[in-house]
Amino acid sequence: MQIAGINANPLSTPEQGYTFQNDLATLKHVFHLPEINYSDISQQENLKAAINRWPLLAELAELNKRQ
Amino acid sequence: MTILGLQGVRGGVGTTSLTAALGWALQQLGETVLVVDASRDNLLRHFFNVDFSHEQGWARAMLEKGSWRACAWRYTHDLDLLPFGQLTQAQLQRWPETEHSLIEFAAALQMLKASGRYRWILLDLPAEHTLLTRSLISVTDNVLSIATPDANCHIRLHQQALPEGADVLVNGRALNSQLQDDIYQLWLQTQRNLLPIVIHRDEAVAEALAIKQPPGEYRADALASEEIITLANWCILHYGEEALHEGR
Repeated sequence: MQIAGINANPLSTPEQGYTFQNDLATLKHVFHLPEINYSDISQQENLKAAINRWPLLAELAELNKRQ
Repeated sequence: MTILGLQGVRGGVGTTSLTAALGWALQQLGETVLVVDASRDNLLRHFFNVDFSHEQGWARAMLEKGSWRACAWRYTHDLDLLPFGQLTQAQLQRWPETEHSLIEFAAALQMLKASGRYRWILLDLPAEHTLLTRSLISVTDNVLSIATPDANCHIRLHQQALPEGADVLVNGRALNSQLQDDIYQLWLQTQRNLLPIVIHRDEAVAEALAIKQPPGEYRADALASEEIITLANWCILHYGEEALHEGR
């Protein structure tokens, strides 16, 4: 089967010689809040100006510093 | 052999476009690539000229006890596509049950990785952390969390968990936006896992979907296409097989 230049079934030959062990432990994965660090910004004038322009940025920076 | 997941911090940050574009860029650089749609929206296929009326895909095949392998398409010699498939309303309404039947696809991906058939498997992941998304993320080697430097993503990066070890990639950066400039400068200084590459908002990327081609094929000279070639090189250096051996 073919659709406008794209060909069907490149995967249709089953792979040989591999056995998958269905280990549910492999499905566990850890999620974390991204690592954010505001400690370096206080010396930088452009970042202070950015934070002062937008209350949302100021609020989140302040919260992060307190944590 | 690397399984790389791409997941938006939220919907609408251009994850599907980026997956199509990165797949194209990697094969331009001589890599073999399979791009996999892991989203119920089933949109990725449209970047690869698949007809709207063609409803097959791995998820639909698994639910209907068919062969998911038979649902793949060869786009170029080195670039294959596996669509999600168009689910029926009934399948979508029974989503928790439907989803449970799909998590074994994670094992199928591991099998495909072990076969060594592709150097890259790119997963276009939906933003929400469903059971299916989490199970697919668990078999990735790396995850790129895609964020636009706007107020919405800025809030989310302060409250929303990302997959462990995920790198944050800025996509859709607007020129001439004071707010985006401010947020981006702040991220540069405060985000520890920010990639040193930015993909700018580019009309060529929006047009690529309407043309039904990956952005880099449609407009190789567009700013975003050139930035995505840089991204592909960065991925080869940091996420590729050789990088793993060197412990990067």
